[in-house]
Amino acid sequence: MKKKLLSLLLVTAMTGAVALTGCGGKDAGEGGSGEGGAGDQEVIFQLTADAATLDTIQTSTMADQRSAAPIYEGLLRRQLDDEGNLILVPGAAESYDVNDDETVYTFHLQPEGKFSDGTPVTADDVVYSWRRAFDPDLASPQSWQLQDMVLNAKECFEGEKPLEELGIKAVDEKTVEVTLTSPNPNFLTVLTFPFARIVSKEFVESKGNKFGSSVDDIMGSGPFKLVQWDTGSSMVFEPNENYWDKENVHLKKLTLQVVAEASTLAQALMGKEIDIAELNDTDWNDQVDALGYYEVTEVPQMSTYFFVFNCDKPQLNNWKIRLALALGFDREKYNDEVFDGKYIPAYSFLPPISTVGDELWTDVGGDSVDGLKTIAEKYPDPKALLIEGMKEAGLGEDPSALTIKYTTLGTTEIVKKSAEWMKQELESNLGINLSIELTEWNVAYDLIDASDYEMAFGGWNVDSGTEPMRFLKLFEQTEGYYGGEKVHWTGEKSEEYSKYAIEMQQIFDPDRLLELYKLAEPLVLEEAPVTPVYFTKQRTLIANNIEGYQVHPFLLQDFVGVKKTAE
Amino acid sequence: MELNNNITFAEDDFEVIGTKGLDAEKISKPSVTFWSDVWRRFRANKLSMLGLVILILVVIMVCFGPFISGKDYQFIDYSIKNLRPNGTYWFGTDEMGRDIFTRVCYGGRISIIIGIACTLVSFLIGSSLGGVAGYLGGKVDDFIMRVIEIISSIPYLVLVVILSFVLGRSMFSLVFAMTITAWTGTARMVRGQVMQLKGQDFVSAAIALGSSPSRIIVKHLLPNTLGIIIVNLTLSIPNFIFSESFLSYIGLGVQPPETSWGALASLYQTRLMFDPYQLFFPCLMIVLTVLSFHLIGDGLTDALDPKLRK
Amino acid sequence: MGKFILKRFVYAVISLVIIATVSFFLICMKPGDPIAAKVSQLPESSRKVLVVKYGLDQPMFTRFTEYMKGLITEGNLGDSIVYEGRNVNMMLKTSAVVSAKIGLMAIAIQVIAGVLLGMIQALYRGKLSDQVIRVLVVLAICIPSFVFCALLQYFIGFKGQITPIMGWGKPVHYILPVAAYAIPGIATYCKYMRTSTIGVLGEDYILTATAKGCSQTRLVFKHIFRNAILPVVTMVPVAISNVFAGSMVIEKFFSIPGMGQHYVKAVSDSDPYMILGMAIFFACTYIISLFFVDILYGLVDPRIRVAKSAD
Repeated sequence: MKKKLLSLLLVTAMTGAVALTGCGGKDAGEGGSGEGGAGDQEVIFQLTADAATLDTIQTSTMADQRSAAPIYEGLLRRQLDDEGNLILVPGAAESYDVNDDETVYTFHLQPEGKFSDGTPVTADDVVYSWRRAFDPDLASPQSWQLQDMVLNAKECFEGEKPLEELGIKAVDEKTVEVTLTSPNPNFLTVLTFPFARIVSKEFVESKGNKFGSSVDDIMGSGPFKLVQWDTGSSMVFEPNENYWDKENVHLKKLTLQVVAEASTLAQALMGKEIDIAELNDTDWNDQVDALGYYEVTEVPQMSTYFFVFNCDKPQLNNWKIRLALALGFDREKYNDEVFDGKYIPAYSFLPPISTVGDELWTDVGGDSVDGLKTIAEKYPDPKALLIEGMKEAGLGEDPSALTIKYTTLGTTEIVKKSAEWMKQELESNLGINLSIELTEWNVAYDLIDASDYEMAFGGWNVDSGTEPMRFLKLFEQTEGYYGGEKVHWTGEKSEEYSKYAIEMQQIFDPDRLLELYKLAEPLVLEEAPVTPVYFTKQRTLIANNIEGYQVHPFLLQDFVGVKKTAE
Repeated sequence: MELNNNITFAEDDFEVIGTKGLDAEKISKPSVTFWSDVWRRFRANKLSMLGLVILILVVIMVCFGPFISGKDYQFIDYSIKNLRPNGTYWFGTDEMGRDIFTRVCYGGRISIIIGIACTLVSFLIGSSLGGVAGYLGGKVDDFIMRVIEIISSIPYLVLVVILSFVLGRSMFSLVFAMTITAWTGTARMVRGQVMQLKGQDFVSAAIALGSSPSRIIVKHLLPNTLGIIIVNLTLSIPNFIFSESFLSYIGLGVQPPETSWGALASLYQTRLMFDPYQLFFPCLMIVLTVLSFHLIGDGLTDALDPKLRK
Repeated sequence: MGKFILKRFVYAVISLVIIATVSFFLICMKPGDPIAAKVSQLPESSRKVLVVKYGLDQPMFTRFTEYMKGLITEGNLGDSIVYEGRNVNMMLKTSAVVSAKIGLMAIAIQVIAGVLLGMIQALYRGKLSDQVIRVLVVLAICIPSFVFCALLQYFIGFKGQITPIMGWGKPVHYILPVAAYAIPGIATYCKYMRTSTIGVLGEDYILTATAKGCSQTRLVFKHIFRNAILPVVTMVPVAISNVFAGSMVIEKFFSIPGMGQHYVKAVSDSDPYMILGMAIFFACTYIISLFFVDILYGLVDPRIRVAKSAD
């Protein structure tokens, strides 16, 4: 089964690479300033935004986490094996033991593990790093992911217990023991997350709340150290000469270049000024691919975008109206026309790389895989469904009397484009009026929080695991992020859904999970308090002379093993 | 000297000869008013007349263009996307297959109205407050200048966001937000001019003749600052058009499906390397409009300023 | 003069207090949640912890007094909520300096080019060179900055390969952003210079100088230039005060670590103390520049005395 996962994950467009290997050399006429031979071992990679902070426990955006990845090391690291599967490899911990009931893990730290200033990594540092993550005064925005796993973590984070009672302790200088609340197969993976990585107690205490904010206030035990940070523009990393595995660190210099404009990035790529980048702009893609200098890797991500309907509003209270809206536009056309086909149309909340146990959801999900298509067959005429719903809701029979306000998530050109498209599509297919409210994205979050919206856009991105539960729990009534307080989905089916959603968070048995997924998802799709629109893909360009750079939606690249080769 | 009081006049010592002699002073031509003189001198300036013609053409196009083209500015049709300019789609179509000509016309309405409305408001407030501050000086000047300092220091973007949230995203809220701070520049400039002028002899003369301050400001000082004010006005219309385009660029401009030249330029700029004609047309319209305002402004400056009379 | 400065200082302090207060309450009114800007996917319970940590649950007035206390006692212009550990003071030391470098260079170019072109226009008024310059400088300001940046980048950086497309650190990286900043602004100086030169040309003293047989060069530089440049000079301080704010568009296009991006980001993130701190700093530079404008008016034009305007 794992083979299948791999083939799906690495949809590599090798056009450029093939062309180049074919000629066996580079055109003499091409000149680019960033083009270096193998000798210099300098790599420039691009992100669209600058990091907000490099304090391990405060990192929250993708930019934070990817910038922090080369600097800090967790107890374990993640890598891709030869078949392209994610595996755990030793990081700050050389090895670990686990007790019989899988609740106590003992980690043995690398004997040679050192911070970049040369001080050794001790068990005390690990304990300190984790206590910071659950310190209510520091309020880490990410540590809730470990909250239910580690003993007393939740109580500590909510200030009910002192941090000393957190389920982690130093056995001796190089040994750490972690106690879990209950066995959890995801625990080891969480160790690789940025917020669980190790910082130096002495260093952090000397910096106070400045830790992570500028070059002088950053130090970790990872393979690289930060030597320069021009906020909003670039970061420069150099190898940590005290790193325990420094033999595998080949780069002499690593530069992160922030490039926000797609056209700027594309031009820089055409000039070969950047080695590794994420570019997904249909017009430019062809041009850059034609250059033959970059190898392109497309990877589906665990992220779903969806419409959210406020079921509390009278015009959206009836599920038939909501479902009519959900079926009222063509997702394929939407993806092709608005996004030039760069995403994946979604007929379910579960991205194609979701797994149940060891199996891909797309293999075992059956009819539920494209659940909305099945439902669409049941209701072939969305407009009739809409009118039916309007009658039930006492809104008359005239769709043109129905006006729905669409609160956008953000105000960028692509958001405007997509809203204008959706307006025309829904208005012509259903005969309703859609009025666009262009809204700054964090204002949109505010409005959703306050239930002051009718139709809104939302998304959810998972960067750690592939279980469908991570999406399905969002719509559960009480705890779900898009739960009762925001979406106001009520009624029998909602109760039933919540029951399944709660159960799937408590068990690990794949068979029962599959059953639950199949039971729960059609409920939310048909009642349509939310309706899926598309899944995203990550499109990475890697220069041909870069070796060892691995692409995976969950992998935070620490650049160990990455090198430049002679061509 | 002793006056001879003994002379007496008889009736016929005098004879009526009419007012013949005094007629020599009479102005036989009809009097030329200030404005007709301005218009006469403006007309003589060929470039400025060209500017006026361009502006009138642009306004006509913006007003009647959509009726002539007969297309909908917001209708999306992907089957005709990115068409080059041709007989049916004079300016081509954009990446959503919308007719660029019609969009440019609609966008122009909003941009021109925003430019003119904002300029007028900031001119009225700015020149009156600036004139008063500059002429009266002292406490009044201090007070007005502090108000200006405060208003122009309040974070403008925050104001725009708040106003668009409170009043809804409309042209009105945009005009409102942009003028709240923009008049301060005009006010400061007029104040500086007035301060320079008020020490001059003609003002002293007016004061000596007992003119009231308001009369002095309106009749003597403002006309003399008009040259600089007009320059400022012609520069500020494009500035407002650009402020709006910047707001559109960062997503705070007009709300779709409404559009403006700035919003169009911001959208089509992303396709500069592939379909440059898309960006060309809104930019061309901005250039023509701004250029015509400038040319007209230059002509007016020369025509209005008494010192610049040839 | 001493009395004048003292008085202006007192006024400045009063203005700043009012600006800070008004801005703060406006910022609080602004919709948008800084916590959502910081982390978008957050369980409600964790969100509450963050709200308490940043004091967002406190009444507005308490937050304001806390902020003012920090500002006065520690000189802290404000800490970021979204960017943990970052504060306005730090941004000013790093980003504002970068923006100022670009801005000052650009202003120098604008003033020199604008003054020269404006004088040429006035001296050859109505002639071909007047018309050509008039149209050219106007064309330069007719293009929205984001279009202008894209054009520069494409033709000079990409097609021409004369400069890097983007980046920061080497002198060559200054070329495109400085050009993008400077060129559109030339028109302003040029127009004012033209108008004021024409005004000067009509003055009696020019006639006198000509009558006395003053040479052309001497006339232009000694009499016309010195008098005509006065209104232009008074525009410079305010322009300089603006350079610290940077230009978001230019910085974004050329990936420059300047202030403009941070300011726009702070506003869209609703990062309250960042916006407030920057607003106060910009207000200071603006007030100082206005002070210099007043002094300059007096210095360059004997008809306006500082004392007169200040009394």
